[in-house]
Amino acid sequence: MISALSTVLVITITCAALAALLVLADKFFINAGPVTIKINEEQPRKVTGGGTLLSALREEGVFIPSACGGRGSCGMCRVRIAKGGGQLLPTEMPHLSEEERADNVRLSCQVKVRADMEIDIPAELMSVKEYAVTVTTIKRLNYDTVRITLEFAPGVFFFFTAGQYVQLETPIYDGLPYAVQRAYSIASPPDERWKVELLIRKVQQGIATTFTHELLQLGDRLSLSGPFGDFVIKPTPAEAVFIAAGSGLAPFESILANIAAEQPEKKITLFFGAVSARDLYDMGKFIAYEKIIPGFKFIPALSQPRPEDKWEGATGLVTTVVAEHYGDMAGMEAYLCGSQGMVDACIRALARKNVAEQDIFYDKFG
Amino acid sequence: MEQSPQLKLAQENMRAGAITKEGFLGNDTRSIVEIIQSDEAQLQRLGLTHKKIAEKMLVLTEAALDAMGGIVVVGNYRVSALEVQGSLPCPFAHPPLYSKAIVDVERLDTQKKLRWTPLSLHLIAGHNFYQGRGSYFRHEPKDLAEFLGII
Repeated sequence: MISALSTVLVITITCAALAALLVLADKFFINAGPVTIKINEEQPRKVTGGGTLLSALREEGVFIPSACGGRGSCGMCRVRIAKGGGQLLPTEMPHLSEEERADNVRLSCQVKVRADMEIDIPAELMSVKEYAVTVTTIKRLNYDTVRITLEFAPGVFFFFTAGQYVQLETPIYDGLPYAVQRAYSIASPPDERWKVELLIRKVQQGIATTFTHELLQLGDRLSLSGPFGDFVIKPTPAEAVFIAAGSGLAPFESILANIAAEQPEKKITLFFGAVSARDLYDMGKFIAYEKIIPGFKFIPALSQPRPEDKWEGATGLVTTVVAEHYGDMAGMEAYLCGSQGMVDACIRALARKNVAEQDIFYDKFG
Repeated sequence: MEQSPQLKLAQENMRAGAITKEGFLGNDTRSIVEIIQSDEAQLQRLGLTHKKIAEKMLVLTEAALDAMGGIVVVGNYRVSALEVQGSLPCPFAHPPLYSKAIVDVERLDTQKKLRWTPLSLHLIAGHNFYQGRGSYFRHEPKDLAEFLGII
């Protein structure tokens, strides 16, 4: 018995010693020294090896979107690696298609920078920067949505296209282990470059939204990166339908301000789907655009209005209300912003009305 | 089930604050493998499968999501879902991403209410994982099966 225990003890100690050696080797040998990362065939940048590619790029001011903060669970931080990066890891495999694996697409949060690398990333990400911002207003819009204004430092201007989004970083709070980043569409117009306004809806168990709704104070300093996304209005004369739900009105608020200034002739109908009147907010702001943009119409629709709502507007699921509003929609463009389920339902409804797949646009951010 | 790199990542992702505010393990001190094995044993004693539970949950979840925030009655259940923008990854790093939604289900004959998410349904259907004791969305397999009317 004692002999068996001794053997177990010896094996345990040996394993622990080997593990410690591996950690030390990783720290002092494999990770040692500066390496270079060449991005999109530009001049190589010198970085310190050892960390992940995602964090090395971030230190170089190159921001790859990531919803999970680099823990290998969201799969958003894909980059194509032309040289270096080592073997594909088991933690990356579930997120990558066969085509992506064949093309050497990797998750930058899982790839360790241990030798010179060459990578390709979308060109528009090169203009993304990180900014310090200050909270200057917090306004409750209804029972579960707030509008916050974040101002940049004096003299700093933020350039974006209406419809794009930022990633807001929530600091560590309540003993939670990580700061997290979450994507929010910008509601303010692009010409107000000293600030961004975001609409944030409370999510039960949400890390970022719990912070925003319960702890955020005027004057707090936060960090955001952006701009991201290609949910922008195409410069075509086609009639457009906008469909929003929840906090999905945010990008349309920015887009309408821009259209009023630059494309006032565009014909647009904005549908906002909600359950009852308590879900509505900022209705006056959108109704006002009917006088500013001649071809604009705003139609809020309630799926289950309560008697006390005394609702006289459109009633039904927003997909039904849209379908009943139009005949054949061939040739129209559709822009969608809301939950995944709402976007999927709208895509199906629009396809039945002959809207071409390539003319349906929506945000895919996580 | 050995502690593979994926399982180590899952354990890390299930901590409070990693994917959701309170995480997936609650105050349970057991490993993920132990939790799964214990719930598996409970199901075997009841003569049930994860698939049977997940299939019934899926019917109710889809009906709730289709109502886009409204309330609908499906057989003996009144269901609704609050779905918001964005999505959540599976802690087992198992694609795709899952919609951020809370599904509320009330059994009409008993007035008993349960709440789950598309991700917690996936954890049961895809990983036989009912979450740790004390976590916000854990339901004991037996309670869940009774609620769903399959025992």
